[in-house]
Amino acid sequence: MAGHKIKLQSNDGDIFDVEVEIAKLSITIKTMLEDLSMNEEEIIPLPNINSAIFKKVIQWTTHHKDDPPLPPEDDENREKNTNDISSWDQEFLKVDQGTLFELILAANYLDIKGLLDVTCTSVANMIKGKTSEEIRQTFNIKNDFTPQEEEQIKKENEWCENK
Amino acid sequence: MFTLLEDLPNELIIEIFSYTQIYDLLSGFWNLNKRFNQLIHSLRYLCLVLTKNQTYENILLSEQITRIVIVTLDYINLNPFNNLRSLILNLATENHLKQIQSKILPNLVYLSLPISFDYQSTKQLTSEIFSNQFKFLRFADLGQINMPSKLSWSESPSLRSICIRSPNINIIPLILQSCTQLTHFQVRITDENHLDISSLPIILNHPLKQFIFLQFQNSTFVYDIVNIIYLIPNIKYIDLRLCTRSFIDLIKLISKYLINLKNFDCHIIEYPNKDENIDINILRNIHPCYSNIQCTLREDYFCLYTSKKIENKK
Repeated sequence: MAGHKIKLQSNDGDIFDVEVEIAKLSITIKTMLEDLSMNEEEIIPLPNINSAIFKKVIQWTTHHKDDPPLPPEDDENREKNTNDISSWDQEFLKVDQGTLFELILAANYLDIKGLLDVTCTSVANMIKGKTSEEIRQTFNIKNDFTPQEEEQIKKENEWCENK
Repeated sequence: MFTLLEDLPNELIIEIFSYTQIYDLLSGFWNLNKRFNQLIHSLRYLCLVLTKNQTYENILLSEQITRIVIVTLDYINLNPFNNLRSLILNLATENHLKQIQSKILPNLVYLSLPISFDYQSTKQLTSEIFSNQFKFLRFADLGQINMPSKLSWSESPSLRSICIRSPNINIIPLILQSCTQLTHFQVRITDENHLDISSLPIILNHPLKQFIFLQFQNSTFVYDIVNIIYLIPNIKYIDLRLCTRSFIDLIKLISKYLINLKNFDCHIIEYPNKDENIDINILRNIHPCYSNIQCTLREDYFCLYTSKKIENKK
């Protein structure tokens, strides 16, 4: 029913009126409404998402509400598209890394495959062509190897390079 | 608090890795820290695309790679990839073909080598495929293959889908005899020769569901397709691109013997044109699958019948 709305509450207390058809792009919310017979007048809490990220999620789902469903995938055929991000999505994803990872967490929690797809593709594009040192700097990844392990890795790398 | 890549749970990092090429994964994340090493080692079903001048010999994870696409004529050593399930070679050289052996790639499920450059190696490979050496092989696109020297193969029940080109139509009954569980079969015959009816194998109730027969272009040779149809009574979809003496006789026979037929496509030249004045509605009424048949071209000596594809519109 177009225009009919439900109330969704972020973990910092903000309440959002969202069209049912848009909210149902989230399989998690769809399941709550359909399988758990939740009353549409009730406020549905989303304890894993803050209001800033939820606003972004609503912005994305509103724009993509008429997209055709993504094809199913099986475990052995998981070739993903690593290049094509629409210009709208590129603009949408011009955010800091923290927001991008929060969007991935939200897309996973809400089970919105299209949003997960485009956010993961965006991170994969950041990874493309980088050395391990560049990756360490880009994503601020800590090194937890002991000096002995470091020495072993160095030897293995030399062996591989000389092989 | 600023969320970092490392704050994501393992399942989501693995999800991101699934969008990343193996080279980027290894050059960027290997030996960054213990967690990333463990995650990389836990990956399954990896795909490696090998292009020209790409180094791969020192690649870690070779046992985790289940799919390889080779788009280069360069030498490739397939020995490390013993868990490979899918192998696609856009251009297969002697070097590539000689390595496609069941002892090197015992788990192969899908093999595609539409264009190969070495007849002898292809013959050896074909012999291995049609003697059940690849126990798990289900889909094979083998390009050009020829008749076996002994004029028979042993049973290969794992095969479900085959696509080939061959100069000899007699390869069709041999493949049907060998592949007892085949459900999809596409064959293009590239030379003119007769079906040897006296040596046709006895094939009872073959389960083939889809059959696509293609005759090479500009040939007006008439193959004995009828005796092939008798071997495959369970067909649901048939696509014939060939020449025939009488189009109406052929489609009448198909409707009589293929009782499960659901889809019929054709590009059939009737030569010489006998049924000059036949009403197209008579043809269409023979079987519900024939409702899209049309006479696309009619000349003095031949007539071209095709099936009009109906596009599904939302």
